[in-house]
Amino acid sequence: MLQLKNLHVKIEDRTILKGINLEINAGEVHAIMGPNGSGKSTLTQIIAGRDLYQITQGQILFEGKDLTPFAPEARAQRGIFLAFQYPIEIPGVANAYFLRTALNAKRKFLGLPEIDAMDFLALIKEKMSLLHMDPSFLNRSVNEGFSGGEKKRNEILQMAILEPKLALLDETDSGLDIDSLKIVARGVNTLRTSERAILLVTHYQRLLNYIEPDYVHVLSDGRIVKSGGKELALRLEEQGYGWVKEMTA
Amino acid sequence: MLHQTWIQNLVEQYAVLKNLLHSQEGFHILFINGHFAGHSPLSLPKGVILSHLSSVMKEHPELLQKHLAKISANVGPNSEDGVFVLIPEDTPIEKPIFLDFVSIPNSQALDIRSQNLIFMSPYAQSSIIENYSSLAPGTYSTNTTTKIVLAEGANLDHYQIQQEGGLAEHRNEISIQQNQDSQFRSHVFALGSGLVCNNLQTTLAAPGASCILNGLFLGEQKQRMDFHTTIDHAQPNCTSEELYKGILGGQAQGTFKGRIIVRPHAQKTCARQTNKNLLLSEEALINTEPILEIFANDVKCNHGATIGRLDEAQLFYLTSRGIHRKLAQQILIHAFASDLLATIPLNSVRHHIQTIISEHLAKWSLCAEAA
Repeated sequence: MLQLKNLHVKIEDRTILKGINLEINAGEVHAIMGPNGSGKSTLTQIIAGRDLYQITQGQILFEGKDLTPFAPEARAQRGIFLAFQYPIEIPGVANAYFLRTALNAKRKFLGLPEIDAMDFLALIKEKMSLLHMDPSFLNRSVNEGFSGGEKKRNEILQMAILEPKLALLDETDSGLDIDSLKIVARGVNTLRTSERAILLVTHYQRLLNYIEPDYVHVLSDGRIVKSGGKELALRLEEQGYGWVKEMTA
Repeated sequence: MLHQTWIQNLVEQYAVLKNLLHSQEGFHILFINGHFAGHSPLSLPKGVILSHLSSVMKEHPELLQKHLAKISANVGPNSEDGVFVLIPEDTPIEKPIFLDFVSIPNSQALDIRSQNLIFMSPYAQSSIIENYSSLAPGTYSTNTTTKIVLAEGANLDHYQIQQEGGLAEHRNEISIQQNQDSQFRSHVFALGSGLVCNNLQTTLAAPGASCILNGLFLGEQKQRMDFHTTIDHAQPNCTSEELYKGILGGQAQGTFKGRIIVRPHAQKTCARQTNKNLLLSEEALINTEPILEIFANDVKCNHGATIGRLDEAQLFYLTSRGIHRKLAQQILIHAFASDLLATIPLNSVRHHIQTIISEHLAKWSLCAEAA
């Protein structure tokens, strides 16, 4: 579903990704781990289409198509979803309106009519109960004044509503207490299907106890330096990133 | 008779005029090109006068003179026509009063002048909406003055909605005299006209008076929009709160000049002023100038002004959910205006303004790519 081929990415004059090769198929869950500043967030943002970053070499292919010419909204409509590490606050825009507008944008792309207000309400209530969210979230402004945990749940709620083919979860575990982590992980696991691919970015192995990956990759200084199964995450947790860095030095 | 026929023809031609004249939603008084053109049918509560000046001059000359004396104003036979509103003592008016000024520019140079007088008796309460609109494109100018007196304990929500055509020029002066414990709330929405000059001045002339001045202006192309406000804290224990927001695109230019005077004995004054602006293009320009003249020493006054553009991080967040960039921009512009819209107590007016804003934004090209 997603192929990264020799991907080089820079922001201003700084090269952040230095030749990433990665292939993710439908039904797979991949975890990318790595120390601070290794380029993990850049990787998810460039796939979602953030224009701060520039591809200098290589390609991102989604369902065989080069994503480069597609704006972020076109990527989202085709099934790419990014759960932000730091979800953006948008004062003055109600969550319900935001979610319905996003869903309708996707439906329009798929040639479907706009969702009926009552159907939407039923859908959103069902998804919110999955994430233990209070209905009052709907009338609040997008992420404004949300706690860290509430913001992350709101991201997964959006994923549940938009039902992407490829979900990029950028440090969805950061800032979560153990109860919230379990709720968020359960939400993600519910969305794990044979048609959907998930790319998790995380510092810690902790999240992977709740969302078990099929593959783990270690990103260091803009390159994937090691790939393996979920046991790789355990080794990182025990020994830190030092040994991987040494290995590549 | 000629006048009557002219109005009848226009009412036949424009459904919107017919709707205003048959509205049950509130009390409407209609002016076309500055000429009185009719009332809506609802009967006013006892003692309320809502009429045009020339008629009041004939029917209640003493009453008019008595009120004019309060503001040392004159209305002579050659003065401009306009609306006279009197809300009697202790009378809350449930339904809003609409002063509809409709322009239909024709081939002749049109220079519309009007003056409105609004008298709120002690403890009277009302919502009055001044609505300026054009039914056809064309060049003309509107010059209007409104004088408002709030007696002790009176309470007024005053709206000014300008949605005239792009070739129109709109100049407006409002002065308000506020007596003890009166409350004045101003809602200014400048959503049209090539040139807008608004000048609003309120005097908090007795202790306990308070005012809230809210304003939103929306300009594009080469529109010029100037807002000058003066809040005169003449007496102690008064409060004022002001929030003006500007949204400018294209080559539009705007000015906000907010003056607050706190007189030497106006102790315990509380005044807050905020001006926030959103610029949508490289060429749009805003001048913001707070002027605080404080002569008392026991007061709380603050002011702040910001100028910004649409936030790229917010735009990316919205577009990453599949929302088209142009719609995302519109959503953020609406969000910028949302706190001012939320302060409008009348639902129908709020929806009306929201619709006008949406119609404008849909036409704007906006910035395709922000820097």
